[in-house]
Amino acid sequence: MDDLVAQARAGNVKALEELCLTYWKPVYMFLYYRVQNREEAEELTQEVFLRTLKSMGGILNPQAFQGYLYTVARHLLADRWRLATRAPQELPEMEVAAAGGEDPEEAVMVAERRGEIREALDSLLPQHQEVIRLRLMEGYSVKQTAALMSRSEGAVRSLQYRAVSAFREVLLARGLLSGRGDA
Amino acid sequence: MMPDREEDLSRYIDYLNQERKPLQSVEDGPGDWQELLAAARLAKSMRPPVMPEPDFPRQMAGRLARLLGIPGQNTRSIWGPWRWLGGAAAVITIVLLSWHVLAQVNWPFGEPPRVAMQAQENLQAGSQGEPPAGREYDQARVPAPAGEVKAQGGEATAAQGKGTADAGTVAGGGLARQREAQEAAAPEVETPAEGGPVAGANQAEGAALEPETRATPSPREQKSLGSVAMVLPQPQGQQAEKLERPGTSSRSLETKAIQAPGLRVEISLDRAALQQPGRFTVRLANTTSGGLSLTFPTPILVIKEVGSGEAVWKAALALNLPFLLGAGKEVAVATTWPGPERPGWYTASVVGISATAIGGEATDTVPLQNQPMEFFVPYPPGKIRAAGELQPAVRASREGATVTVEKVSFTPDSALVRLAVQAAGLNTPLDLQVTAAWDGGQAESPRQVVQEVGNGSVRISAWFNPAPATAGRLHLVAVVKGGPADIDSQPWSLDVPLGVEPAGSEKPPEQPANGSVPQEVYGNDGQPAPE
Repeated sequence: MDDLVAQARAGNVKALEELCLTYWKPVYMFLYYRVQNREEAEELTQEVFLRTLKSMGGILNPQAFQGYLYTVARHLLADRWRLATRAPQELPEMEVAAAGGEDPEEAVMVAERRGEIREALDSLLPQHQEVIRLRLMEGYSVKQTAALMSRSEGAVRSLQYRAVSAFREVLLARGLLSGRGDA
Repeated sequence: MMPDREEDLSRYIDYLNQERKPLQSVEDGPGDWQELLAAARLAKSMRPPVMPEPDFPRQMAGRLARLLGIPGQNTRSIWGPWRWLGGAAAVITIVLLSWHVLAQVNWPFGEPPRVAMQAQENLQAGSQGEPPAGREYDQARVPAPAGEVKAQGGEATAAQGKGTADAGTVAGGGLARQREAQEAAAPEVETPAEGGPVAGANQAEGAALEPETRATPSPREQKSLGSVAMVLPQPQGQQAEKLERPGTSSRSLETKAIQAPGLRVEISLDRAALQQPGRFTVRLANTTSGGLSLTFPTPILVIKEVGSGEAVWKAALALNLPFLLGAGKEVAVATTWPGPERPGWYTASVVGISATAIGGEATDTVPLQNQPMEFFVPYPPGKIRAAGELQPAVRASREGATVTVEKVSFTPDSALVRLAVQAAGLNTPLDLQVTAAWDGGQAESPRQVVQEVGNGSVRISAWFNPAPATAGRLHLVAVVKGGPADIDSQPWSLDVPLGVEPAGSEKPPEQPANGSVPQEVYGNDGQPAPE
């Protein structure tokens, strides 16, 4: 691994390719989980590799390289949040495990956290659950959601705002969302 | 203020749904706005992640090479050896041809140089398609004949497969050491390769090979490229040309070579009784002829309820990643499932598998044969409508299109709903989403949909969980999300009265894709359904 990183830094395209092929996925998953869109996750993944390769010296083992990627990803996200005037965010270690799969037990904890989020959703009013399910979990457009819920598009926008606001309150109350907007 | 925020949140959700980066103007805002957006992202995180295009990592490597100022990044790295080989071959060819010409010359002062004559003989031998046996290949994925592939040295493994052999080796470096350590420690279950024995590294050479392939390169030759060499049987006829290219990158032939082999994932469950624990066994089998490295993230076994699509249970596979799986080997991981809370159809799937083939200096992504396992948890007696059939002919028409509920039939494990969509010029499967709700209950998605196309209509068979015994009404919603422009994209809503449960004997479950002489049958994914 140290050879690969050194070779990539020295201009070996094959070594660079192999590094990317081996490590892109956990980094991408880590970032996607936070930004929830492919375009931004791809951009950030590339930026993480670029910063890592520019700044990293010799690597002793693969774990160190992967850990370094996560560190850079974490800092990069914090920078992005600040640039967008968003509150800085720190990633719970559990999410690192979710993306990297370093420990199966922690991966199960992530699954449990999803269960908690599911429970938070289930605690909302039925119409709030419905609009969040249709818009965010199934990906329907406002127009389609309006048709499915027999409401006007304006009513759907109002309802989804109230629903996401209520969801935010529940998440905050249950400690699943920090006051700084961590997700 | 509020309508703007409502609009902005809606736009933000649209961006997420379209997997696009939201505009910064939409994202900017104070802390509570950030919390709202974070809540929206958390809700969306319940959906499976959307992965990039398969060539994303390679494209990223190319972009990184440019950004890092690595020269020659516009040429794929795998062509590097070819470039040098091409150059060398050109020089050699020119030299040989020169000697050949010189050999033709009627030398006025005696015989041509001896070396020239030898070169000519070699050239003629090569043109007869009889290359010398026992040729040595390194890091090459080449078509293999039906015979056995032999491995030489301590590292290479090869198996008779479906016409390919992956002769990859890792030169020096950490991966090779990692493989040695892990293969020694891994809980592998050895399985014979398909169609023949695995040729082990220490197998006595030559015994199973065709006579012309027995020649073995000398130890010096084996080490000539600085890594483990492999002796391949010489193919017949035209294949010889491909084999005469030592140094070929595995990627140059990967499209054909790795279509069939890959990483096969098999899930089994020892029981699917209601409210009883069961034991899932996940087997990961390497059907390639080279080593596979399973890397992060940790694969997770996910049990989903088919009707709601909700994941009801998850377990991480206890693999100590990165994990190396040798050629033709498999590893089994078992985990205990506490059992379902309610009956119905479930799927078990393994997500998050990341495997790369170790092929010399190249590392390729590996085809996954990873189909979810579907299983049914039976309902207690008397709880479901287990038999009978209705032909309600409920229909709705709009803008030249008609949707008809032709049939609803009940079996112990399914409720089958058959719809017909008719519209002018309709001759392709529809991108359709259909849900069913019994007596105003929770809408559920079907576990399987089959479309039959023909004569301006599409007949849709959708299999749902069984209907409750007391169900008096079926509410169907169908949304055509794409396809012919003359089908309205607004939802089609149909109410079907079910009446009382008809008396009659239970029928065996109707099999999907067994309709009435369809011209073409399509599965859930819009692809033609298999026979």
